[in-house]
Amino acid sequence: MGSARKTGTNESIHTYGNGTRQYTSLQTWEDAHTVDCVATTTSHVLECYDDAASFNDYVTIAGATTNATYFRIVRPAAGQGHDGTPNNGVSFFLTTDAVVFSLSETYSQVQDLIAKLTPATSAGRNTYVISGTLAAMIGCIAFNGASTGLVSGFSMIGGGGICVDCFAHNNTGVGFVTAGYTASKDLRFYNCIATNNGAQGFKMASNQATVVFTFTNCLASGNLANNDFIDATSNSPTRTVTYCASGDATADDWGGAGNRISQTFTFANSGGDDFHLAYGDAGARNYGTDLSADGTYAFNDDIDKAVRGASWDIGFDEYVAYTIAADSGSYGITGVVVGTLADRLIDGLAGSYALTGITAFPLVGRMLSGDPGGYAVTGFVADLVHGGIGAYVLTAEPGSYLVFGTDTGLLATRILNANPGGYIITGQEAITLAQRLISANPGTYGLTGFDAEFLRSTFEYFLNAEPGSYLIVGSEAKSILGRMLSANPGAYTVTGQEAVTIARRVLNAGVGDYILTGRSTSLLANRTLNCNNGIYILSGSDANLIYTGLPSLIKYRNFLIYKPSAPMGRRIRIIKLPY
Amino acid sequence: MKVSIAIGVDSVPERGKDEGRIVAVKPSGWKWGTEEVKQFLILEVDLGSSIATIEDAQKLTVPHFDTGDLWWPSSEDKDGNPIEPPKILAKRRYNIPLTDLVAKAQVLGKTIDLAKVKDMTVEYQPIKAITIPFATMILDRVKGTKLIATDLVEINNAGK
Repeated sequence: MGSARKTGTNESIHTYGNGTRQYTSLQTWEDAHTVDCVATTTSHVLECYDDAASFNDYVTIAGATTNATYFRIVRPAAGQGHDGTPNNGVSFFLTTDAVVFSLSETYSQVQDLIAKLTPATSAGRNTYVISGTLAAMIGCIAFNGASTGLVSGFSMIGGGGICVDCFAHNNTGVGFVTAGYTASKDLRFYNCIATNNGAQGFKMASNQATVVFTFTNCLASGNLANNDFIDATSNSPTRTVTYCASGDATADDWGGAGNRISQTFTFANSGGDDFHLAYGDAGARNYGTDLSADGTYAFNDDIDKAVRGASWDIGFDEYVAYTIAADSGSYGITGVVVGTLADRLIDGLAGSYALTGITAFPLVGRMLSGDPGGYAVTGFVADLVHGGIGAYVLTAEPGSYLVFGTDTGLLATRILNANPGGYIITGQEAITLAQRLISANPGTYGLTGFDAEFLRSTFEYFLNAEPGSYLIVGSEAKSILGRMLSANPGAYTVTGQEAVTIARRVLNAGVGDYILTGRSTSLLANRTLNCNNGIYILSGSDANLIYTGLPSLIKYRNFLIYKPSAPMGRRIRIIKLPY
Repeated sequence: MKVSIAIGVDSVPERGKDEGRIVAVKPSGWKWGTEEVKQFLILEVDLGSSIATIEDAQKLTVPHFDTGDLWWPSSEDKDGNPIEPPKILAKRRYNIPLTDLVAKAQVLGKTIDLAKVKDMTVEYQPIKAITIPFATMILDRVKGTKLIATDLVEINNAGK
């Protein structure tokens, strides 16, 4: 028992994609490797790379000698597979009137590929066809198939194949259609989903009494009215339908355990072709049966290769909230599927999350409602964030926040009103944020950029009220420093042309040691020496004025003065030092 | 229309593979993969005006069916039930005999070393820079004759 995706013994792997790969045509690979896999003890594998938005290609895999150990596989290369939707991954969009993948070879498999069949004209065609004994389609997707005739998703005929974790969506024909025209064959569908197909969801057709149809953990919804599961057989073959679910009342038409009819399913984002089960689904979650010990085809994972839980879900997806719930930490989540993942993450987890992309909104909504922790929110989603939460949300959550982008204003306002801590704030909305920040929160701040202009107006609060360390650069430092230095003792690094004004303040008020550089140090020195005891090292063009004026400047204080540029023997002057 | 064709250079009758079989058809100027240029002979072929789309040109890769169909028959009957495809007798119905190709290339000023063509471990594409007219080149193994323009019209219309 293990993954539904079988691996062959002694795999010989070749690559498919654009002209930099070994093969650019499925047919050439198939032809070159139509061999005796058993005699040569080799399993031939074609690994596809997502080099193009889609490939206009097709193949019939037939003619090699295979067995359960040595067989052929077409699959995505590592990291190139889909995300459980038709939106990402290695895709074959065929405009030729042919089956995209026809698999008539015993034990061979097609895994985790996306296919769409749209020939200009066709009398009726299937996107995938399985006709080999125990040949298998695993984790494959057929969607939006259309032509002048009906285009169906998956067709299983003849030899007794198997279809696991597959998805047929919005085809003009049937989602999954199977026909048993050969006696004593088993045709199996495990954990597949058919949605929004123009004809039936799952359809059986046969003229053989000894054929066995098996549908387990399959889900159909939104197909032709009252046709989610349909029987078009004759001679009463065995029809074993168990633990299946339908939006209409057809899933239990053949008896069988665990079937659920007239269900409403909640998917992650059906409008975006994402039919993973959502957090709140009550139609399929935990209503499947465990096939990890199935006598014909045991497996334990879903379309995303996620290992299924103790209670299997119906359909290709296993909702995995519990797996993630046990895991605190930091997560980087990107792409359009973050919604579902986010649901899972947020169900009870403390931690840090980086959320980007257009579907971050649902995640953020949940995040801010219930989960303490640190969150980085970027992009235009911040707009939704600040529109979708109440003041109470942020007030309940102390922590650190990184807020970027044009919409940070309102969000920042809420954060800063309630939460002390360290913040890095960039962008034009920093104004509003800064105003709040500075009025209420003591701490350390790094302020840069053109927003310093606006910050200046807030420094009355900032500088008068908050002891601490400040690093201030830029043309607006003048007014800021004016305030700062009058009120706050401490250590300051001050650079730039505003040093004059700063220095006046410093020296009037502050006791301490000073290192002064720049052309304005003369004024500074005047003040310093008039008021403050201490040790001074003077350099720069004005230092000479200071130095020569010392006798008149120094009347009441004790100083040690060091002037490196003075002649030897005159560099140090000690005046009324008490020590 | 002009197309790029990959033809098989080996013969494995027990696998239904004939020498010269038309394995894949792609648009003219196709950049084939690094193994394909070793294992197949790549030709630029002018199919004339009987076939106008790459989708129809790809019908030259049809298998040799026991029914003699020119293209894959419909997958479903009128009720939408699956139809079993006809039995495949050989991987391809059409081929371009290598000896004919050598002769044609010579007329066009190119020499083909058949021994090198059949060495599938090295890239040897002696005629990729020229275009071969289809006439008298493509053999229909069912009819036992070379394709002419009317055959291509028939192929073009197959399945429509």
